Amino acid sequence: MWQYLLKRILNTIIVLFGAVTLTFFFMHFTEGDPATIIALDKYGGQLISPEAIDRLASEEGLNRSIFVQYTSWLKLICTGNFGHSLRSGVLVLDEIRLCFPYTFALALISVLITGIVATPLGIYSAAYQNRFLDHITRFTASFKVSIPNFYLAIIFIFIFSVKLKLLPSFGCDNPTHFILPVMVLAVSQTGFTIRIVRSTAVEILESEYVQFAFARGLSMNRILFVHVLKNIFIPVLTFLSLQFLMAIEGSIIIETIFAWPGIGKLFQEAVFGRDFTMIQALVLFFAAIVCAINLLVDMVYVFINRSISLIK
Amino acid sequence: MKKRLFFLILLFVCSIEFLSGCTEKDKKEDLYKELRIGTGWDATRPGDYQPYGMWEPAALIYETLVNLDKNCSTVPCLADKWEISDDSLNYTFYLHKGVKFHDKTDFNAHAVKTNFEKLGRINWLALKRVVDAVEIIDEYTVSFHLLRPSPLFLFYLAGSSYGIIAPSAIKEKKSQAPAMNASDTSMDKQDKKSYLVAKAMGTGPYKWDEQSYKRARSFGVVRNENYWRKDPVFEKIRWRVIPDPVTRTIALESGEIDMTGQSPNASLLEENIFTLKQNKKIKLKKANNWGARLVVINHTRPPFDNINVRRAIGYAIDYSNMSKIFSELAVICPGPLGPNTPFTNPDIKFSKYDPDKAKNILNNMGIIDTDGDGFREYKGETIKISILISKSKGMGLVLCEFLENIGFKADLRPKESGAIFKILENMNYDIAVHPNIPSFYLDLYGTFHSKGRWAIRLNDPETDKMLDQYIVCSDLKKFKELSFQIQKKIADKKIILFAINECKLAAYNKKLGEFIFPPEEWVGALQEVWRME
Repeated sequence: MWQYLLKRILNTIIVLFGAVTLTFFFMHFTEGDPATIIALDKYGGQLISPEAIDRLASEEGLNRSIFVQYTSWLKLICTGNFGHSLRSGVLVLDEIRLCFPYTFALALISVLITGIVATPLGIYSAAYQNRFLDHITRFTASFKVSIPNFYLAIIFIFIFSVKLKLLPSFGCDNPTHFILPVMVLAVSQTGFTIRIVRSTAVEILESEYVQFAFARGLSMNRILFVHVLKNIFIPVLTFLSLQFLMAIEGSIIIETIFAWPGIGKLFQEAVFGRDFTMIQALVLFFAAIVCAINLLVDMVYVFINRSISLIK
Repeated sequence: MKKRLFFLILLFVCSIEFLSGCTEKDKKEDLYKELRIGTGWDATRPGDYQPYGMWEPAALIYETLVNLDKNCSTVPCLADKWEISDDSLNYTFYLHKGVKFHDKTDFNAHAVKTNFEKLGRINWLALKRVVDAVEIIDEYTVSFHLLRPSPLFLFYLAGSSYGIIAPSAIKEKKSQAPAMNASDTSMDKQDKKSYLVAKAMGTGPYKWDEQSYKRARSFGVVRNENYWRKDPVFEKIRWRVIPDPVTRTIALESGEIDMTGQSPNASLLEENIFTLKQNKKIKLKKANNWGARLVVINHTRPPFDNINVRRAIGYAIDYSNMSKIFSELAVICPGPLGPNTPFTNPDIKFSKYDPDKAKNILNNMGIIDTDGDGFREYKGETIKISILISKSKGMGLVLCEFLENIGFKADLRPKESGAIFKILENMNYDIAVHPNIPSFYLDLYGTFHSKGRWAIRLNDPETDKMLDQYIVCSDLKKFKELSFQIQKKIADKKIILFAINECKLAAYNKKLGEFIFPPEEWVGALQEVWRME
């Protein structure tokens, strides 16, 4: 176990190093002078001047050779300091610390709702194939999968905010602000998850041990919730962990539409403003989260099913 | 089963309609208690409240010595009156007495001098190039000594960047390591003291509301109860950060915000404007800007180095149809200045649309299609024009059509705005749409003098000479004349195809009254909102 953990941690370090290096060089090989863009953003059209650009480049170290910048950046992150945002001047870690809880909450709630809704629906859909519930579930699942998030978001805002005036359309001031973005994320995730759960459940229901359980005269509920659910847990957990990561990383559009003060919105602003430090730190942060969650899921597998061995 | 499904759908639709009917009544709101504005992003910088960093609230928190009225004339604000010496090198301002900063300290000549001296590297950067020193004559009289005459001095002084900040709020800046580097730079070592604005303290109608500030989510200002002019109408003004223009539009329609689109940070798209036009509760107010984005031909690159080729391109464009592409969002003007500035030469007109004339010019020059592929050749090679563009791609495509109509092969070369600056600097383009409004708006020197930072490289000694006189002209009337002459000279060179003057368009709750745009963006889009009636 410890050997496995050590191996995974070493892998994680290599992945993170690769992410940092690639992002750094990709960012710096894009066209355009970052100092000019940042100066325009910072000073506006009227105050920008050659002196302002040169001073900014010098102050932020943007006029140094790319390798000097790279080694300095590596040194900086090794000390746990990610520098400050080129745009706002605020420490990058402070910005991430401020925004991440919002994204995390959104992703966690939406994934929990997805799991709670999609698992029983998928199992029932598999157990009662070609019945009314199965048709409805499959139809809505396909429907949810085929509608893009941003479109769904606008439709929901139009119905619930403009027409019904029931829910706020943007921001995050009180719990009611969670409803629309969570609904949008959960709806699309539920569609995918139901399909996965259903297909896995169908496979399990056709397996010999389940057939044997039927032959023994066990009730349908007992078969579904004891035998099927236990074996369905691992693929569903894997899928939900991916959904969770997608909700964290892919929340840029949803956060932008709902003006959600999360990390996706921060990322979007950083990309448009060429905030190099922020982009690099966010990529590193995302990479770390992906590695951590993958490791965590692998650990959870063992606890769910003791027959799984992590080391071959 | 179909019946059940139909029934379920019917039930869902009915319940939505029912709920919709129940909530149709508008809430009775006290409109003037809080003005809620939707903006695209939070431009404020925590811990550093310099006006340029705050953008929208800056014009409400800080006030300038002078203002611009709707006719673009300088009018008193914190200075009651001013005198200009005969040589235009000294501007003496007589300050309004009894004005207090938000921290209740006095506004006086000392405050003006402190602002200039301590914030010279940032807010006052543009003026630092022409102002030698600021002298306190007495407590309420201050004199600016200029290095050279600057005809635009008062115009610049009206900009929100030159808002006067309470001296108590200006603090010494601790040196900060570069964003991405672990060690100090030589620049930092060289530097003397630098300052920042630690608190947002001005004399304006509104005070910065620190308690309502939520980073990247919302920020606000509250009424300055001791304001020296008449009482500001709104108790509070709160900006809500909504990056997506569609959501901003919906938020305005649903009544969650009262205003949006008022500044470049909050601009709307054409489809949003179309939607809002249908809403009787929303009012749209439009105004032109001074600045315009130039569409230029690279006159250093053959065959465009020949003025007749550039002239032919000018005849090939139907400018009236080109304007329609932008609908409400922009107008096409001959440039280089926007159509409504006090210095725009009205005699500069577009070339008349005449594609046949364009073709004749090119034919007479021997630029013809020799290989029968439908495109003209120059020195044995097909002329390919690439249009460097970052936005307004629809306009770019129409431009391609016009060029192909006279036998030039044309295509778009889309680039990110940051990349375009470098390409422009290296003159590595055929036709380019400037990604940003030339920063100097009224100052032609920076764009058209061969020594200007954003120079189009006219490389014309005669124009340079005129610009040298223009930049030190002491008489505003003479300055205007010179400006007209320079614009004419530039227009005659046929380097600027046209300019795109992006409009300001505010959308707001009709019940609020009449929103007035200031004459120019740099004085702050919301400068007049405090007395909205």
